[in-house]
Amino acid sequence: MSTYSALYKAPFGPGGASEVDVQLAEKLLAVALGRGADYADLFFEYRAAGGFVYDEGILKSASRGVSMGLGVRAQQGDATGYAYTERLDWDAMKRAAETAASIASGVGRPSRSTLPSGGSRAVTSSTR
Amino acid sequence: VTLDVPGMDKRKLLERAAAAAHAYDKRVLKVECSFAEEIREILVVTSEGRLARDVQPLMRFGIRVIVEQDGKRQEGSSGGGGRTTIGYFDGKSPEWHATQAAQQAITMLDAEDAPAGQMEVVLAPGDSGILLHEAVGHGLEADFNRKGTSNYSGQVGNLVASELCTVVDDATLLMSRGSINVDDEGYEPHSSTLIDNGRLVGYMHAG
Repeated sequence: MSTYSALYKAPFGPGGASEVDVQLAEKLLAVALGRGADYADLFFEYRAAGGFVYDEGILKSASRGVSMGLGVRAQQGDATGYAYTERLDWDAMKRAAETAASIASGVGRPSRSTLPSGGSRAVTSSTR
Repeated sequence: VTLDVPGMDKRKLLERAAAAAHAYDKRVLKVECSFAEEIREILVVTSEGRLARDVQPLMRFGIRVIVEQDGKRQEGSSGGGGRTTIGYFDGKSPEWHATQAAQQAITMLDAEDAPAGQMEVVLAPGDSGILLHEAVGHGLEADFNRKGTSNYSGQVGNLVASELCTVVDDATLLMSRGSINVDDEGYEPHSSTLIDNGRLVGYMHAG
């Protein structure tokens, strides 16, 4: 049996609904580096997981879930900026890259009022 | 991967394990089985030009058996899995795990309490690796050592363990739970000797 899944495939993978290619990734990295970061990376992750617990003839629990998103990291000296989004449209991904860049540069991030609903979020602050 | 296998087929594997545990000995009181599975896909792109994609399947089967004799209860457990498919059970069947767990629990019925105090111990292979992971592994993570907060900081080349002891961090073992084709920063994993005959060789880091 294959170690690939026929049922669960990452939307950012080849042929996926939101396929990410090198050109798109380079555009996002350029945004993440845009405020002077020395290094940036994009981390796309898709995870489908499930489980069963069987107790004395009874199926006690069954679970199944899917999570997916993009994390963008920007490093400037010892400062790291990180932001993520659970959407793979250009605006949300660009927003995450901008937020990571802002945090790493330490010059403040865009005001909260401009954040689109359900969009990117910053979760790591500068360590500088 | 196991996620593509119909749920009823997986339920049957758990039922087979439970039946085998109960059949092992009349003193088996309660059996609990579990099955956990996932598939993870990653794409890492870095400004240094690394680009990596990977598909990482993972599954684990576990069984816990409780036995009772003269009002005294003991338990045993067995489990396994890794980055593999339902084919895992061709090598170690649900019945095999059930027998291991039941045998362990039954043996424990006659066990005496271990004496308390400080003493030399011999660690069997397997779960004792967790002790090494916690007591040595975390202390060898490169970021702690970069900040100088580990008890291994500045100790490279020094004797940090018995000369009988060699510790290797190997992420390339086929289908093992901690094995990967690429790490979350896009680096290829490798096998690194961390402690060589008691001497600290280096720390754990990517690249």
